[in-house]
Amino acid sequence: MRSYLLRRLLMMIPTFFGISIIVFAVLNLAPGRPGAQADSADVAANARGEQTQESYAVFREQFNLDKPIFLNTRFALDTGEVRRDLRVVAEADPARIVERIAVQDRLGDLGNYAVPHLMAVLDEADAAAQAAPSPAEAAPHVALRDTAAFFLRQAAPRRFIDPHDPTPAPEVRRHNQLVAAERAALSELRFAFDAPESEKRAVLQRWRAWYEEVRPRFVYDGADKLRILLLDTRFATYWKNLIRLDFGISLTTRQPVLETLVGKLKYSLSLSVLSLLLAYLIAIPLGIFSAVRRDTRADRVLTVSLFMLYSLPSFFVATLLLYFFSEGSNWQALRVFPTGGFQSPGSEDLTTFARIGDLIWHLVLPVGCLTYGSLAALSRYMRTGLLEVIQADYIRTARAKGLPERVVIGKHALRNGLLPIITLLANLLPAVLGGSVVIEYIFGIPGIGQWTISSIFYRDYNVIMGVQLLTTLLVLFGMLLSDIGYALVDPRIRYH
Amino acid sequence: MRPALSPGAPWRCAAPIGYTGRMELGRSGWRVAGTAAIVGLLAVSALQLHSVEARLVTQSQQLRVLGEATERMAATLERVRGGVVAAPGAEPSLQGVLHPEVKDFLSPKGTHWPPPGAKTDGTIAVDWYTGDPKGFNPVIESMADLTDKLRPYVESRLAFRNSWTDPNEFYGDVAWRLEVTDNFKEFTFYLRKGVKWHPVSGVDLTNPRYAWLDREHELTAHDFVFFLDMLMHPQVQNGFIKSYFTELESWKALDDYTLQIKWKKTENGNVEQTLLLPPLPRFLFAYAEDGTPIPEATLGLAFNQHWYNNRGMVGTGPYRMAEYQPGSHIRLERYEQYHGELPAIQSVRYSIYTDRTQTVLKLKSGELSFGQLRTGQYREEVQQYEGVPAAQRPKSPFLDGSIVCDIVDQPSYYYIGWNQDNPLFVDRRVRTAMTLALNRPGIIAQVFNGLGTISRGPFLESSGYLDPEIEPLPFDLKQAAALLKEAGWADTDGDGLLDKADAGGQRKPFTFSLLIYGSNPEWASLANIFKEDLLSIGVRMSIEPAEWATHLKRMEEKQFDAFTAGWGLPWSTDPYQIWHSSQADVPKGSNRVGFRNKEADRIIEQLRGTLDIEGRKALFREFHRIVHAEQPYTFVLIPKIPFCRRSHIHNVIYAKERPLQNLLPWWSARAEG
Repeated sequence: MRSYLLRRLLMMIPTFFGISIIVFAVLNLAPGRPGAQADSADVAANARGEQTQESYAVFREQFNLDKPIFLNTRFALDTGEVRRDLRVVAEADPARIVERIAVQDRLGDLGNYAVPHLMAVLDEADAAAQAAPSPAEAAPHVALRDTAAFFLRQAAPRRFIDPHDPTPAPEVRRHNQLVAAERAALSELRFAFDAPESEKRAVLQRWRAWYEEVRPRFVYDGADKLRILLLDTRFATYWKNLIRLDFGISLTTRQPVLETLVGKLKYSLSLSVLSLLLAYLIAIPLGIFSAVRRDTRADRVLTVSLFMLYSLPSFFVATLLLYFFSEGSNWQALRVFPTGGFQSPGSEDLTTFARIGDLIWHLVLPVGCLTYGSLAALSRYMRTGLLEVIQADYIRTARAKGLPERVVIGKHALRNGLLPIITLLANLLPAVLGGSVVIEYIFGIPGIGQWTISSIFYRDYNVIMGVQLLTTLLVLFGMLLSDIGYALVDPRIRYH
Repeated sequence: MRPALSPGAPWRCAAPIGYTGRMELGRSGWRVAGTAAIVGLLAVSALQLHSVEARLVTQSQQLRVLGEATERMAATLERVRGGVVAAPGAEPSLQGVLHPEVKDFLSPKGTHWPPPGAKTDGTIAVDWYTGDPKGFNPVIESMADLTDKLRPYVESRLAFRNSWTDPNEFYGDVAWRLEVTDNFKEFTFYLRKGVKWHPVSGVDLTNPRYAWLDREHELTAHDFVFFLDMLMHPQVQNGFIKSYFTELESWKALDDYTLQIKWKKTENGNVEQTLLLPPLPRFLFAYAEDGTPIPEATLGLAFNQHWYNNRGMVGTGPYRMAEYQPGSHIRLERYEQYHGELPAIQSVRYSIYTDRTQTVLKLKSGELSFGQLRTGQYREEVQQYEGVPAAQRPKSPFLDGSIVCDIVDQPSYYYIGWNQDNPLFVDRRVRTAMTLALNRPGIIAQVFNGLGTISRGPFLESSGYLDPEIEPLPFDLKQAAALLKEAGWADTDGDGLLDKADAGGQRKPFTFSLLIYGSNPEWASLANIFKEDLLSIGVRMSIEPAEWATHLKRMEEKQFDAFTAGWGLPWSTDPYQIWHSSQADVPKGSNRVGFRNKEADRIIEQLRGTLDIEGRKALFREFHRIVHAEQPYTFVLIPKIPFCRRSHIHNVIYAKERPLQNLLPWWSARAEG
């Protein structure tokens, strides 16, 4: 058994890794971009040119969204490609606005890798502009050159090392100071598109001087290329952090994902564990009852009413329950339960008993809503499981021995009849976490479900990944638990 | 009870209760008795513990109440003695001021609260239905709840706007004097002395880890400089907020109480941006959680995810943010050492939830004393019983006077935008015909239950920027048909749809699609009514619902014939972003409809440099006339919001500018929760 457990636990690692690759890929390839709609309401949208673009670039850099997902081939970037993209932006054709938006994002994401190519385009366009016989003919070259300079300013700054460490090592601190100084200097190398030619030239000259100085930075040898190809990617960075149990920070609240997740776990777990427990406690006796009284009127009534419950959507029932039985009810006598929330305000001032009471008072309706839907399925599984067993020979033997029916069912049949229901536990655990989304929303309980939904809306990758990986772990452990449960219930099953 | 089948041990372990043999009865009886005794003892001691705890809790509550009262008394004493509040009418000495000859730009405070007879220890509970806020850092976050429900109370600024009687007027807040040069490029503020930052909430100050925060800090000019330092920092990610300050030239503290801000250009928007600047507590945001200073080189990036961003808000305003319980509530407490006039309400509780159905329930249960209803909810609770005799109405606090609702104009407008880069809508007559064909009076009455007024143009009615002569176009299908005919549209093939020859000479029917918010039933109804009316004059419109993200993307990429959307209206507005022709070709620009008008461009540019109110009004009205003639949008409506409150709230006044930013004059007759 022990070696089996060990094997299972070890097997979980590659499974977990595989699942994480799949989730990561699906997430990053899904349409929509994080941060893009974070600031938008239906009114008062405020797009204001370059500054917003710059701010969005900081955001992308901060969360590594500017990096390729799995493989980074940007060291082998082609100048022609960059030139083509720059042209699309420089031409500013109103008919190609969709393409322009995409190209701008692409160019903005290239970062340091684009610098040599931008420099090359800048130089050739400048030469072409000077060679042009008339200002009209020079205009497209000038536009191309200025666009290259614009993106150069986005691409040139180097990254900080560990910028969020308040007490960095001395050499890191020194490096970051250098980077900050360079960034400040580079941010001055700008000109307006309608600035006089002489001013632009002066700025371009300074760009060239800077490039001459740092040119070796952009030469990559084989080892560099391999490192970039595999490690300078979103996935590698994510996993590098994950190994240190760092799930990253939320893209919207900018708080550590793990911390928030643990904080919200108490809400979701109390909902899901309580409702699972309750569901089993109710469904098992109901299932036994139906199995023993098979095909009687009582069984049929029970079955029909359970399936009626099953077919009532929980959000509907929840709203109705709140309408009739919460403190906001129009009927004085029915004002029993709170209108939502997890605890009363000021519950920290209550005694322990009163606080538990307060909690239960808040949880009755949401837990009820989560529970009733699973009763039908669970009790049906219990019923069928038990029915199969009851027809077995050894049950007949037990009856023949003269054992009372209670013992036959309760001791001999139940153990085997429980098997299918135990398998279900593994699947129910994550489902219950997911199923509480609507309930959490309606009852205003700040749990994981609600958080996941809003994170999906904001494309908050780190949070979605965090929650998905947690669910994965739950499923894996749930499966393990149900296997162990088998062995405990049925002594015939042995694992080696 | 049956005799034991076998006394063997393995059997007994697995046997259910009640199946034990007689032999064991004696022993198990003892066991049961022992267990019962232990349980009983435990219960007794738990009960004792409970009563002790209950007593402790009451005592600590009493102590806290006592402590708060003492604190308040001490604060009041200090206010009187230390003269934090300048006596009304008393001229502060101009000694040490740089330009004593310049007239103070700030107006003396003309509106006062609380009204005589107001109860000054009342509390209120207000709705916060958008769930947990993303953060409280005013440099980074800009969502509506933060700017409406927290910042006006927790922050104090250099000056504040007189939203009550004349929003063009500014009172001194932290600044007691302001010198402005004639070209409006240089602002010099003189700050009050002795203004203290609120104690830091959201951390346990008794914990040695946060001992470095457990100190009084005075507000100085450096805190304003720090706000701008962070706002303008290239590493700080704050969306569009930065763009309001692109023309800023310099900001510096001449000394602890003198602040100088210079702009590169004379622009109308600068006045407002400068005067309404808040400070940012440097003693908090320049430090990591353990009190070590954050390295200067990476301060901007670290600031984006500063440890305090989600803990709370520290300001110098009339209320301090006393508590934030994620998922539950935010509590504001009046800051008794506030330097200005103290408001009457002592404590404000924002109830955090996500489902707006709860607003109604919570108002009814009394958990909320103020909340905003949806139009549908208002219809269900109030409107459907209008005119119904009292005896036939159900018993509901909404109907017996315990809850009162006010209908307030939302400072925004909703419109249909016509893609003027699309040949269909190039002709102004076609756009005018579209407006004529939209039954605005009927739609407002039927679909919006009367909770709206027809929008006349893109500015606030109360600002005086709209030409009072202009009447909104009527609903007139005949005139619309006539205009379309004039524009060359006619039904030549008898299929019931108008058609017209395109550039290639081929006749095409008049069909287009309208993009609407999928999640908004009111827009769906509006679109359906519009569709029917258009069809009756030979135009086929199809309706395309989209969720907001898609909707936004389509607008940004200009992939639409027409769309529905809305704009929020600030008090002083700059039409450049939405209406200037240069913004029509900017990717993701806000001039989504492609409005290009030379005359309008000239007015917009001139407006930026015009600062006197009357001159601005004249220009705005001229602009309004152009927009009305061109009909780039069909202005649909200005929505009205039903705000409902329990009757214990008094002196409810809504601000002219933003209706919710106005708890200050209110008072509450209820003293707890």
